[in-house]
Amino acid sequence: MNLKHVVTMFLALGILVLLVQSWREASSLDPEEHERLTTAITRAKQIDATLDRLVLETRTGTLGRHDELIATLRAGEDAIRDLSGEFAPTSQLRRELNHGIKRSVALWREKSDRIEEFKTANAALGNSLRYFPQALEHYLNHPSESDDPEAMRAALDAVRTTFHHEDRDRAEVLERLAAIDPGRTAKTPPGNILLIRAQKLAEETRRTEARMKDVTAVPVIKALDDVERLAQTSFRASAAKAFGHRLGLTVMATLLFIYGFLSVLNLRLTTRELNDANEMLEIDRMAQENEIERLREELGALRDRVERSGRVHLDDATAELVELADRAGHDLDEPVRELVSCAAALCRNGELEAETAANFRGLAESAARVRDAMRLMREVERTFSSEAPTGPVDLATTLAEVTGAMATRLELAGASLSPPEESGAVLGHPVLLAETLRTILGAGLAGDAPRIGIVLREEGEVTEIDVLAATLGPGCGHLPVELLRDAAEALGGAIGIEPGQVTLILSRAAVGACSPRPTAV
Amino acid sequence: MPRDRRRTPPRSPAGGSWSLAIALATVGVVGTFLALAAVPGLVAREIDAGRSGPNAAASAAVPGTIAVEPVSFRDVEIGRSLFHDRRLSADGSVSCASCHRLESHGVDGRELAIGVGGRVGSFNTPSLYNLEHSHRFGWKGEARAIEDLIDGAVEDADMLATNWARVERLVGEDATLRVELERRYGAADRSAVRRALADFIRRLRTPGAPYDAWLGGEASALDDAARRGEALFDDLGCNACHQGTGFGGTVRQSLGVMDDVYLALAPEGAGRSPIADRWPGLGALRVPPLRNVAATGPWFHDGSVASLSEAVRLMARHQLGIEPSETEIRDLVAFLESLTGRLPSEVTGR
Repeated sequence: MNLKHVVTMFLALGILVLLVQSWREASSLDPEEHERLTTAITRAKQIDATLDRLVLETRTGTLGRHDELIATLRAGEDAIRDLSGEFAPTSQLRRELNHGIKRSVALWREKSDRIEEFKTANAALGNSLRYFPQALEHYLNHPSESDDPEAMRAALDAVRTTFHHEDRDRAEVLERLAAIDPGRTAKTPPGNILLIRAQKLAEETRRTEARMKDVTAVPVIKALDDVERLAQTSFRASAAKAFGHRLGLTVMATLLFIYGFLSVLNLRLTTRELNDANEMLEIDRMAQENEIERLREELGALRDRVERSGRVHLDDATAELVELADRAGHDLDEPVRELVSCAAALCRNGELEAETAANFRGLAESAARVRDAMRLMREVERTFSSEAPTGPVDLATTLAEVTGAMATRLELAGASLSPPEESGAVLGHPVLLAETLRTILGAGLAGDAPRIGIVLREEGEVTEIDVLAATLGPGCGHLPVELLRDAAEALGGAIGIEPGQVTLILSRAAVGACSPRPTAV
Repeated sequence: MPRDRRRTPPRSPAGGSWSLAIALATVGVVGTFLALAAVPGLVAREIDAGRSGPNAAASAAVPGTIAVEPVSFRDVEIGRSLFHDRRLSADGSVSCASCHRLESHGVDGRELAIGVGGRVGSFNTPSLYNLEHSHRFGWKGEARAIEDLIDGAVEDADMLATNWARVERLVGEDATLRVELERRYGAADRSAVRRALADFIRRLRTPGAPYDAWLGGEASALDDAARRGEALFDDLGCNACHQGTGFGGTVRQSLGVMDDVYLALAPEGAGRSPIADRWPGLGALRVPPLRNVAATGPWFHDGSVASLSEAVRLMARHQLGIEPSETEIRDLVAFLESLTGRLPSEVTGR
């Protein structure tokens, strides 16, 4: 990750944060919440007005039962509950709005409590109004001279102001009535009862009117108006702010869209370039393959030329070898045979000194080895000059034939032979193989090599034999090493000459390839 | 023709990757769509908000008599279960139903309620039936809603004497209760418990009172005494406080509001005393609803009056300032007895 990637990553992160923040700001406006608030305010205002009307009707006796008043109060409680949700104080206007709502709720509760007090006072007033006429009637039916005229006049004034709505200063009348001590002034029960009832009426009237004023004095509607105004102002401000953020978001989103579109377009172009590059690489690869094929063909042709050249040289060498063998076979065989016969005859006569006889015996043996070599050469010559095709030659059979023919010599020499545990077939000429084996066995018997082996090895284990070194090896100076090597190579193998060991090494692959079954010798 | 094998590696847009480019393009498309879709809607909403006026008139329905349809607790079973759950009390000894016996019209018949650990409370057990026709709740009228009443009962040392934290813990440990509350009320907290109990209590109604049948046009539902008592109830002014569908529960009043009248009527040396002196400092009480009043004795806030006739007499003296005759009292009692409704069949098992 290089600096460019880091910058790009931070740039993308910054854009994302900016988008989220803008979206959050743009979403801060909640029209449903505003509608809920304005609806609750409107409902609360209507209920408040209805309550004022019902309180007035209750006071005047128009509303006989509290059921409607109670139902309206309950509806008001519901409206206030809807109103009392608090807004997140994200601005000064919101804080003022929350404050206004709290104040409205508190005023509503205060008004509700005052209505309770009004109802309590009004209930008592209702009974005072109910029993005052009875007391008055009782008093009129049972007048007494001991009654205080002033008190009775005050009671009658109360009657007029209360029931006949006369144009008097009601408060003054009630105050005057309340100042009378019934226990002191009224000596008889009717007057006493009238005064008590009148004073009760006056007291409850004053209290009820005061409670009613308390109810209507609670400025719930004003508080609700303030909340409504604040709500509208706050909503408009929020709407303007949200509109700005959404506009900004729109612009930003549009720019991002254009950028993204161009990026995708650029990617499409880049993809096309990549495809072109891939196509060119494919062409290059095919050209290189063609070049390799051409070079391979040239190499094959070169190899053929080398092989042809080698075959010509081989044919020349073979011709020379054939000629040498032919000459040796025809020109040297007879002198050597005579030499051997002569040496043997001289030895048999016994007239020679021991040292001379030993020399003759050595000469006879050397001559015999020369004859062996000559015989091998003839066989080689016969083999290479033969037109007969080479084929699978059973190794075990050939070895058995050779060892059978040399059984006496092997026994006399006390040589040990390690025949292969499993027989197989080797691709070659049967005569060549037999002669090779005979030569090796003969050389082994005549020399110092105590062991003669025939082994199969893996292809890679057939090592090159240093012919000169092998020739000079102990007990091997008499071997026709080069001939043996040529014969072994013709059989697909080699010879191994080590101190005390002469081995015909045949390739396991060569034997196995021409064998009807995989064998190991 | 030799080719230039050294090619510039493919260049990704703005050094970023496919994913970044596609993400930005997607954000751009979605953002543009949302923004373009939202702005007209916003403007429309603002216009609507400006135009919107009052769309709901104040509800001012007048309640009638006690609803006559059969009461079913099918959808408030969770509240009913909580109502009878003794684990809600501090020591597991009492439940709401221990005092508010539903089969006894919501009262226990004792003078004073007995709460946790046999602790005797300060007030007689009020009935919880027909509370939908009351305005304030509790003897003092201190509760604005039934939920407030439940709050008081849970934490009052004379009642359940527990606290909401403990109740919430209890609910949390009861998987069935918790699941049921969450299913019905979306949570298993104190608010849900309060609402469940309140919903159940609101469902407690005793329809089918003879008075309701008489109001419905069944003339024979009330006998002569009850009809006279009904007329007296209005004439004497009992309905100044005991009014509305519930015959009370809508106003608070002081005991002995007409004590001064009563004393003025008393003959000298009679030795009578104001009833307010019996409970100094008591203050105003919620006027109790008279629905089922004949079945919910003993009467008064402290259960100190064992006879309904005596209760009527005391009320007439001290609240109206009159001394009714024995006949009037019998008629009033007959009328009050006609306010007794039927208990829900799920309570009585019938």
